[in-house]
Amino acid sequence: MKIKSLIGGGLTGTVNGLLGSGGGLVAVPVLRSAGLDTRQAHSSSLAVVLPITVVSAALYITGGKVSISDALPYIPGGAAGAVVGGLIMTRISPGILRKVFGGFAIWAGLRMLLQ
Amino acid sequence: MSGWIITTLAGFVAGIAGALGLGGGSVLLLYLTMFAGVAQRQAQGINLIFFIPCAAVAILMHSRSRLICWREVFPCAVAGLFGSLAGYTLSGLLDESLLRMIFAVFLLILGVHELLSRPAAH
Repeated sequence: MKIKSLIGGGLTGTVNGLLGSGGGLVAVPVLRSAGLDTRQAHSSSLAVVLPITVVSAALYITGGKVSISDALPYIPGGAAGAVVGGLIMTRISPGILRKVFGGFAIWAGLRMLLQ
Repeated sequence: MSGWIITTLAGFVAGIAGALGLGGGSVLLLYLTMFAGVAQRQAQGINLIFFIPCAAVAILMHSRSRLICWREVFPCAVAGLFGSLAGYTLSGLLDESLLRMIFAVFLLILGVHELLSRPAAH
């Protein structure tokens, strides 16, 4: 069981490091296969992806590709949205969450194919 | 002046999606590249930075709702850190377009599987 988590986590990070995004999409099924239910998997995936994202963001910033001020305009709205998302998470049906997630995954996949 | 309304709105929608673990940062990335005319690399960087405070807020809330399973999170996150360094190192060496295609196919399969999931088959 632990091995699966390590491999899955490693995959999540590798995808993030190689492609710049998508780690969260890997983390959710990894966590579900570790026994978490849908809401737990989605919630916990954020905690898995956060440290990876801090590292990636630091690399982007020191690499001169972006600065923190570029992202500032979006953060107040984002924080408010995160609060709303947190409230929704406790109320949304797992079935709907899975389907919406499926839609997002398909959309991300299509975008990647067409890039 | 209306600029801040739009960026706040875009951030708001992206924040909700992010907090729900819908992943990929698609919402903000799409807005940045298609409507705000930001270059791909910089947009990815903005998305990464943006995610950090949003995820922190969301994690706080999910944690209070007891939805975060830290015992599962820790091994995944630690492995993820090593993975991301490995991935970043490899990113200059491997054929990125092939990787994207493979990952895109994986996402499509995953997406269809999730879309078609039955409530009973938890």
